[in-house]
Amino acid sequence: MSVLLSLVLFFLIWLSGALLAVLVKTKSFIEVLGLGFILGTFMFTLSLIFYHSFTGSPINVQAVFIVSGGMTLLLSPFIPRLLILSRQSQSILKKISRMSLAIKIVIGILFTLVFISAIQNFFWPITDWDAMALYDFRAKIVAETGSFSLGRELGYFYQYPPFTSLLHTSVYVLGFQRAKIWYSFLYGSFLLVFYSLSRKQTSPSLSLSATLALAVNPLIAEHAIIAYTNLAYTMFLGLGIVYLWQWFTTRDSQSVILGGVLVAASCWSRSSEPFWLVGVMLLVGIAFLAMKHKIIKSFIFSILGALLIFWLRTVWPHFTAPFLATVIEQIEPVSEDGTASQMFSQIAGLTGYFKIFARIDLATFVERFVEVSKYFYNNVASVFALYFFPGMILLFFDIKSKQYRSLLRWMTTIDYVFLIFLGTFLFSFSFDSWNEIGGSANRMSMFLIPLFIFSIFTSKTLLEWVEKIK
Amino acid sequence: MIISLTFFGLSVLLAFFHEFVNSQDWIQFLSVLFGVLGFLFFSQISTKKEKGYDLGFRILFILIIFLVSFHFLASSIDFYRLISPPQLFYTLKLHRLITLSGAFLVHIFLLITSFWFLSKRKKYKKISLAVSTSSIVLLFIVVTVVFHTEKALANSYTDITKMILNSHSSSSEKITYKFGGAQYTGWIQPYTEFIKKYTEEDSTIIIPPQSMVWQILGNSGVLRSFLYPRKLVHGDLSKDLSDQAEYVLIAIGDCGEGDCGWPKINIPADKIEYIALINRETQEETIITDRAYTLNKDEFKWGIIKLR
Repeated sequence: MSVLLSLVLFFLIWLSGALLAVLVKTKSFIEVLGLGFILGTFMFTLSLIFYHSFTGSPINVQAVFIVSGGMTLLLSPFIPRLLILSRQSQSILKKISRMSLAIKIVIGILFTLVFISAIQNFFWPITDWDAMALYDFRAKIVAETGSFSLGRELGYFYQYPPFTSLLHTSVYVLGFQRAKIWYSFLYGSFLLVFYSLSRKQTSPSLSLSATLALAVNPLIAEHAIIAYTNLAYTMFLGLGIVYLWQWFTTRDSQSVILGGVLVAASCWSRSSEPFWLVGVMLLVGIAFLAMKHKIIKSFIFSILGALLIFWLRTVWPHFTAPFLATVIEQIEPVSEDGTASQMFSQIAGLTGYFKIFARIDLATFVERFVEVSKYFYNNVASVFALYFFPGMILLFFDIKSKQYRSLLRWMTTIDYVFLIFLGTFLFSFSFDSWNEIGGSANRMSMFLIPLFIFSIFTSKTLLEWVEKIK
Repeated sequence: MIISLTFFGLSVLLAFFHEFVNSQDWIQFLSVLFGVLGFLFFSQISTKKEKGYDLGFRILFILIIFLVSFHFLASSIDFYRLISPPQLFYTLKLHRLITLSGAFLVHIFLLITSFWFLSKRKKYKKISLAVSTSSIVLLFIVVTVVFHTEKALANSYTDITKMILNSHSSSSEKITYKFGGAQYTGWIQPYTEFIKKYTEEDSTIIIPPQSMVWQILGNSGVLRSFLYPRKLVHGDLSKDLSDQAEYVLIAIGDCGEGDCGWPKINIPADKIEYIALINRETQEETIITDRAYTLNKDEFKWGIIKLR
């Protein structure tokens, strides 16, 4: 029974997401297929919190189905449009059957990877430390008590956004214990949308290669079978930024709406990193360009997108404030000269850094710079190292042949790399243990992978080279 | 032919090195790179035979060369291994393909697939590998994707074998297995089951400090997920324990990581209601009453103290 109920829930969530994708005029069925879970899960978890918060009803079976069913019902007028789009599936299958064996093998590998990840997620219980200590643990408590009121007991980890925890909770309340299956849905959806987005910019074989490169990337493949928030974050932020890039080619409102919503959704799965700011910068850039070219819709949606991001960042802190008020006092000091909260405020305000820099001499500064560079090379650069060298060469050739669109992509990507370096450098002055969280820094930089892969595989120079070989 | 075989030889050598000596990623990456380069040159050698037959022949030729050279290399090391008996495991592993890692099996599969792709390109000869930047960049991208595909498929293959091994295991047995087995950190599963049996749900337990000696037991977050709703505190051993909690864990920890044995105090018999011990090897449980606790690592390894 619990399996059946879970299947119904999965379908309702996917359907509501797919209908939302249809609502914003997504034209590719593959894209709608992927966006179903991506938008559906985001909308579902957010609505669940609002439902719980405003009605005071516990998070239980009824709540889960009222929210998912309500969402679907609300968007049901778009079902006919979805059905029309679904007719594309026949032509997609025909196209695949006519493709070369090489492409069929790549599609086969992609299906195998997603399918095996689903079996793995179904078979193994959650044993990932961070998930046991926080994300999944929190989900179990919410499923058991129906609320988040055990804030004090959960300690300061409580402040992490609830996206994955609520997904776990939604199946736990149905009695289905294999919550990890969500990660396979997200992984498969991520690949579908990534393929669809790159297909709009390049040839079928290159876009499939890009999807394969993303699917088999060691970090992405690893996170497809562990219950961490990084896969969801990478998916939301990576796709959000790619949608915003897409606007500069298509100038359509779909790109800017989905870009804004997905960057906002990234803050719903992880909030401690400031990478959403680059999304806001892109939205502001779009707003300016849209205003210049009098594209009213894009202008309005870019402003709304930016506002959505800022607003969404306040939702979770606002919701948890009453519980956290009792917890803040418990946070233990992390070093001799300050408490954690002081450290956080130092990080937040640059004034703290000016004070720190004023105290240190040039030799210490240079020494720390070298140390951070080494640390960065070992833990962060390893994430994208293999793509950096071909990427820079392709950028050079793209600029040479006046393909300035790729300049924007690489500027955003490299901007992120600098942001991480600078962040680590500043962080190193505040926390003595800055170099002891290599794994965490590695995971944090994971969202760079789709950006690097997309920028490389959609390069016009690469397309020309591949065409020459053919 | 000579160039392709040289690259090919290097690939085999590195594949071997990766399999048995050092399993670092860059060795595997280089192995794939040399393999693809070898195949690239091999696909350039022109023959007058029909294409279909030619392709099949070349693939077979490559497969035989790869396996023979790998086996030859393995056997030469094998001889050395045989001299030192503790390494006998390698001898068994070398002669049975099935015991080789997933990475190695997928390695052969993907190299041959990439060769097949490369040989399909009719005009490939037009690219001058040494001078063309585009070839180098393309090759780098292809090798990166092939290398990552190899890793992903190999990991899936390895995990499938693990799932088959555990196909009849219960959920808690799977947790023990995933944590590295009962002899390693997987011990947490049977140990916490034991603790749950002897403690009330609303009780408070003093746990060891967080360090490499007590990787999981000292991590209150992870341990909490096993023992919830029991409260876990690190506690202050210099103060009266019964004011802080009802139970204290006895956990020797990992002696290979540092100063093991816990709690590092003596607790007089009048402060103890009972001591429940569990034998890690046999899972046998013992209850001791009217005894003081002393830091005796031979007697008190794993268990729990009920404070009076």
